[in-house]
Amino acid sequence: MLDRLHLVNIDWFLIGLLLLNSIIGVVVIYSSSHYLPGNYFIKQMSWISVSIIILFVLLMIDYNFFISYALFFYSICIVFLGGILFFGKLIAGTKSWIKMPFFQIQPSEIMKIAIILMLARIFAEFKQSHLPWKTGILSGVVVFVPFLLVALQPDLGTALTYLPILMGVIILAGINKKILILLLICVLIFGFTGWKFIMKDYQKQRILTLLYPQEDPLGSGYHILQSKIAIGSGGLFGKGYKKGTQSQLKFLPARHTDFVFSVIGEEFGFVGVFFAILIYFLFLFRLFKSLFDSRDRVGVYIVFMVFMMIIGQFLINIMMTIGLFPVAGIPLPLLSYGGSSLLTNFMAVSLVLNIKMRRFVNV
Amino acid sequence: MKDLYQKKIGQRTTLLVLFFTLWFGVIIFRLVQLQIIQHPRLKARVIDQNQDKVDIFPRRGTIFDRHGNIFARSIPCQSVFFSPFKDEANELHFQKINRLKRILGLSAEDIKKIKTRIKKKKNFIYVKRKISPEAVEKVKNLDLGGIFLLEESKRFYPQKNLAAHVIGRVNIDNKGQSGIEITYDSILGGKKGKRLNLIDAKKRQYRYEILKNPQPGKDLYLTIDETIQYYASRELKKAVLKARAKWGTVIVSHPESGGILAMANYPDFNLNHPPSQLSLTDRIKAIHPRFDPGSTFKIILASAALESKKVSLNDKFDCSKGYRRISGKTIRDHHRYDILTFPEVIIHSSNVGATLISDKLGEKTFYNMIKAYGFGSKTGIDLWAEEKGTFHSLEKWEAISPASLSIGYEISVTAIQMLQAVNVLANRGVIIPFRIAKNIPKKFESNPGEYKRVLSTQTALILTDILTKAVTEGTGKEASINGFTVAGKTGTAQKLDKKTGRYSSNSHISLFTGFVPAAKPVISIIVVIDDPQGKYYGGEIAAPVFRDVGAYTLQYLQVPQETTASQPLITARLGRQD
Repeated sequence: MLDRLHLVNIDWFLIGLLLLNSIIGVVVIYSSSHYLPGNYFIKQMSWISVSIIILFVLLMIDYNFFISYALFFYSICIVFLGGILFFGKLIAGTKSWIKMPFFQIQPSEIMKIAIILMLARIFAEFKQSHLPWKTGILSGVVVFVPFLLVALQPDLGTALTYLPILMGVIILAGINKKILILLLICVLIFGFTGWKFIMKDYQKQRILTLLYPQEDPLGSGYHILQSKIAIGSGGLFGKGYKKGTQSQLKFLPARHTDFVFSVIGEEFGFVGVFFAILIYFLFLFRLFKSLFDSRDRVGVYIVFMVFMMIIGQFLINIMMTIGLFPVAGIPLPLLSYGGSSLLTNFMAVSLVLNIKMRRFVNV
Repeated sequence: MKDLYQKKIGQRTTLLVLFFTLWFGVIIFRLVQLQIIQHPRLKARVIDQNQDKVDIFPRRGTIFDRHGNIFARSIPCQSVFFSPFKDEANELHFQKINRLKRILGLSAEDIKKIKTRIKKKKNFIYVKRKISPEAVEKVKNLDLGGIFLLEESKRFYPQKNLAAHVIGRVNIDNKGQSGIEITYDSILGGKKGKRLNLIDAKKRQYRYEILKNPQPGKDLYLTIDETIQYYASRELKKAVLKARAKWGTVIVSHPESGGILAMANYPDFNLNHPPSQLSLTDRIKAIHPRFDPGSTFKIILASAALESKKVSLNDKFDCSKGYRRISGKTIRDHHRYDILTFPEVIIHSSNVGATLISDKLGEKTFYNMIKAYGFGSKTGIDLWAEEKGTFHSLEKWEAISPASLSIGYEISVTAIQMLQAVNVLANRGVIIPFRIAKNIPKKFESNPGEYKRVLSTQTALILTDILTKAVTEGTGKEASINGFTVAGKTGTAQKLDKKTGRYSSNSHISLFTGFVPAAKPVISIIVVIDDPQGKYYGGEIAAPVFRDVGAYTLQYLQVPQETTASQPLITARLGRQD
């Protein structure tokens, strides 16, 4: 399946950017957790190694193979998500994890790949200028079933990261204005009932906190406030590596996971943040450009959905750390500590590489 | 091959890229806002929340007597404070405080106060200060999060009641409140230091820097002699209890230096557990209450008479009637005397005689002498809250005023002022200022140089001689000390009844003041007993206290007895007159 031509066409630059971002992640994770037990940075490096191997293994298989088994993968993931709701143990207040002998894994992360494959399959032969009702509803269901299961864990943050994927599909397929309005109404109703009946108090508090972070500086406004203080106190050039008092003294919460960006801001300042964003932007741009190198529609859809998935999380995470979005528990892709998220993003990038290197075959 | 569909996708993705670029722009804009515009403010927040400036209290100096016996010292002790973890609920904080309730003996009121401070989100809340070592152990064993112990120091007074008023109290912050503790607070107290604590989010201190080292307080040596103080206190207590008096004071001084050897006040109190009533703890009887000095004031009258030479030793005064009416008021003697010479008027303390002397003096001479002795102004002793007493200015004097003053009325004085008057004689005519701190720091030193002269040496010697007679032959017989010549004067003053505004005939102040040995004074003593029941004459109540304290003190100081049975300095002259 893998011939010389493919190897030549592997986008090594994209892989390089992918690894560069991951290594920046490790460096910052080390700074923010070296004084804690648990060797987070070593674990993260192990996850990167494993993810690279998986990335290359997946490259050997034509992406169309995954598409043809999309329903199968999707079903397995759904079964897992349903299963942990019933059999899972509460870890940190949610049932998000499957415990393995040496590590634990979050099926809700891997689910993103399944959703992408499933949607790509649905839209494989799609050629209309507007999204028809049937397809629209079907893709909606594909996303909302796992959304609901994950939201029930409860892990609304991860569930929300599925929405940019759906949005990508809708943008690509094109949407009737009527349907768009209808969707907007649905979102409003859903949002209202969600606020009223589904959202937990702490989640509502987080949204209110965003509007008035000073109200309760030691309560729920704490995370946002401390993150803003960390970033702001970094100034133009930062306090220096491992010298960020906000993170070293543990004022900053979740500093090696969700708030890893704040640590960069504190220790490397505006200049550091600017370069970190620039490198990330290059990575995303390179990823996006692969869109024009795919040989078929499936490829276009997959690349676009991967792009939407990563950029969505990236932007929301940063907005959260600078106090423009509620604290939602969404990690910064590639940089935040967390194996499942890392593996998922590597697998997603692997799909993009797969599409790109097979662009000249069987057109 | 670009079909319509692909064109559309192209449009949409371009739009999307634009949208994301805009979003990146917003993020960069926000970062500029946070990291550049708001940077100073947010940096200040960091310092504010992870740094804590704390005072370091210096060790307070020890107070010694003149020989290095300790009157007051600071010993280390622990205080309990609460620094609540911010992520815990108030209920949890309250539970912790309630668990400490029994161990620390917190009252409901204490707990209420602590709870309001918790609700106000205070970072540092005292739970109980200066607790016992047993309580410290129990608190440590409970190991409650956010409950910490703070090393402090506590004032300890090993002598308890001895010289309690003079030594004085400190408050919970070791700040002087009375006596020597407040007078020399700045010296004993030292200077506070500052410490910068760096704290982490869990309020754990992880590092600290000393910004300013505390300067420990200086030790202070007093002129007080523990042993003499003990004698004085013991005899005073005995006398006050025996006479069922209201209060009493005894001051023993060393005239030559002005140093106070003892200053006893009764009722006293235990400095380690001072009563809450401030009038009991903070008013030093020796320097605070003012009273009419009575016959002891005849010393001043005699001084004025002799120094002005308006009266000579041979002048005679007719006291045979036993009373005299002046401006509608009657002044009586308690014995009827015959015609008395000037010295005899003083020796026998004739009131009639005194008024006759005052007639010869003239108001101005008398007034100036009272002033010269320092009445109406503080002696300047280095003790907090000295009273200055009062007497009328010359313009306000009435016809009877010289007569009243001659027998020690119409003037209020303090015990220390009367002792100063006697010391003028002991020091042969000069005022040597009192002091109670032995190593007085410069700043407290009274202006050095010439001592203020009140009398000529000659006058002082003559008066001394008269006063020795007052003891051997006159009203002060009870003050005689075996083997020594005592010079002294009794006094018995009716107290002004505050209700009626008249002098009471059944409430008195008994006084005796004098020095010994008369020829070469080593100690001077004043004894004041307020409102004795039964006997009330100074010669009966106060003089014995003088004798006992004096005898003990002379023995303790190993003053050799005067072998040749007291030959007063100018006996020859006086003898001729007799």
